[in-house]
Amino acid sequence: MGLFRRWFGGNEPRSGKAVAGPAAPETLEQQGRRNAVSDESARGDGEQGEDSRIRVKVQDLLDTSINPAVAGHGGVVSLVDVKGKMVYLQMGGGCQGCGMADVTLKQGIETMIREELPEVVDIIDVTDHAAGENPYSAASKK
Amino acid sequence: MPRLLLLLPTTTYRTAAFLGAARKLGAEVVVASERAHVFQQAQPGRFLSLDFLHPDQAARQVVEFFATRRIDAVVGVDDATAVLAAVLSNALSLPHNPVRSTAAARDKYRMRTLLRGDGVPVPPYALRSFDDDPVVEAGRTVFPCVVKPLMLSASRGVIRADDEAQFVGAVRRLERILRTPEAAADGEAARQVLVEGFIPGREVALEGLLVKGELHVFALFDKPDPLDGPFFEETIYVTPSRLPVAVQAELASCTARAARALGLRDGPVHAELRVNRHGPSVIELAARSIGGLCSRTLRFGTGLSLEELILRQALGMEIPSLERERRAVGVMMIPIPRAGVLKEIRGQTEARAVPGIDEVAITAHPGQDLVPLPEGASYPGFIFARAESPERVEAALREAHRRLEFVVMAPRKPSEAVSP
Repeated sequence: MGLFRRWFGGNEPRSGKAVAGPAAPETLEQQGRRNAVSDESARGDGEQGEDSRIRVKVQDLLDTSINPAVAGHGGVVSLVDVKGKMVYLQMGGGCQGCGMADVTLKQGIETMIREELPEVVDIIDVTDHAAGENPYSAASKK
Repeated sequence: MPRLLLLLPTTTYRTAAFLGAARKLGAEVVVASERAHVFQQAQPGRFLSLDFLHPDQAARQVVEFFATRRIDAVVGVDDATAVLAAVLSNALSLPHNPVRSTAAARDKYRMRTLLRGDGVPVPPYALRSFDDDPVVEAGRTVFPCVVKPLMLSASRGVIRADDEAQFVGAVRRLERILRTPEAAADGEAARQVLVEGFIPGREVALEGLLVKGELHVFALFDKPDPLDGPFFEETIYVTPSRLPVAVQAELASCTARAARALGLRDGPVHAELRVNRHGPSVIELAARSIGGLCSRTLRFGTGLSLEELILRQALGMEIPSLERERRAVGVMMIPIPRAGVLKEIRGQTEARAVPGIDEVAITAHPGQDLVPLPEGASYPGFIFARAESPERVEAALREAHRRLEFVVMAPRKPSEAVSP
């Protein structure tokens, strides 16, 4: 019924009874809108499927390669989300606030992800590094 | 794709800026640090761990590493790695500043000796050893003076003394600082002390780039807070300078002469000078760019960062513009309010809301030991501002800082101390 409301708005029967007989013929404008939305939904489904596939693969990389390595410095990396082929990661433990976190992300994690998943558009670090209470390396003056 | 060896100490603030710049330029990076990275085994072509304290050993390692890999430039990001970059570039037959020049720029005594020898004004100075009796040395010292380590940076260990008693206290305090493992790694230099005459007047910092021996001045920063001691905590930098144009020209000329005297020809330089009615005196000339996160104040041409310019020059790429944006900019290196353990910094949202404030970057983490100068080696964070005039920039920085509230717990007892 929600879809019906979206497409036909004010044409929804007020009585709540089922519409009997054939629906009124669509205008060209309505037809165009419906086709465009169908394409969008299909593309959205495809993207979601692609994002799901990326999510599974990134999680596998985190579990088997990345986290075992950063654990050596008390670190941990979590997958927050994948949207539009963008991977959002969060760093914790020794990685959170670490002076080398950018090296870990850009030289290490990103390279590993791109080798396996070249279609990934970007890898974003969403960590609040200022809140890290136990960084492995802390920055100092110069 | 150009290939770059970036020397990144694990304690540098500059990692993100240099890696970001390399990415924008499409350069492939090999990161070398003093400690092995967690991904070094998994990706051996992208990481190197080098002994930063033994350049000859590091050079052998680098030559072996790049025997089968192309390399276009070696770039260091701070004082220590600037010298190492010259050594490694020499070993790899890449263009570089003379090693002796970068080494002289790192050693306050050698630097002053070369500058004075070339007629560049420097404060009167003398080299003393911790093996000398400070009480005896105090008797032959002219006051006021400033006691300095030969190699530490950012005013660490720098103490003013106005009389013999203060001198003895300052020397003993510096000796304790130089006994820490990090400082003691400087070897013989950590057993010596530079004693120089205190130069009254205004202090400025000059940021520039040497291109084939010619100095291009990016910015002359005023330091509006007085730096008269007993410690010399740097806080606000604002550019453009409000000094008379003729004085600014004199400061630039003095810096260019200092770079020539040291034999530096290419790459970034960061100079600290004092100026009074007698003219300028060079306090420091480092063969590196500005430290901390302060380079965020500088943008060039169509938005290039300082790090992009440095990497472009090192990689032999075209430099589209050396012109800094015209707006006034400034940074406050947030002073340490008091010794203790940082619990939190409140008021950040309010500080960011001050008109003209670009960014409040807190770099200290909860639980971090806050150690004031002269022993300390890090800032709690940085505040950045842009405005139509230097006066407005300075006012914005002060107001933003006023809105920050530091919650600091009592210092740990020595038995509870943790490494930084």
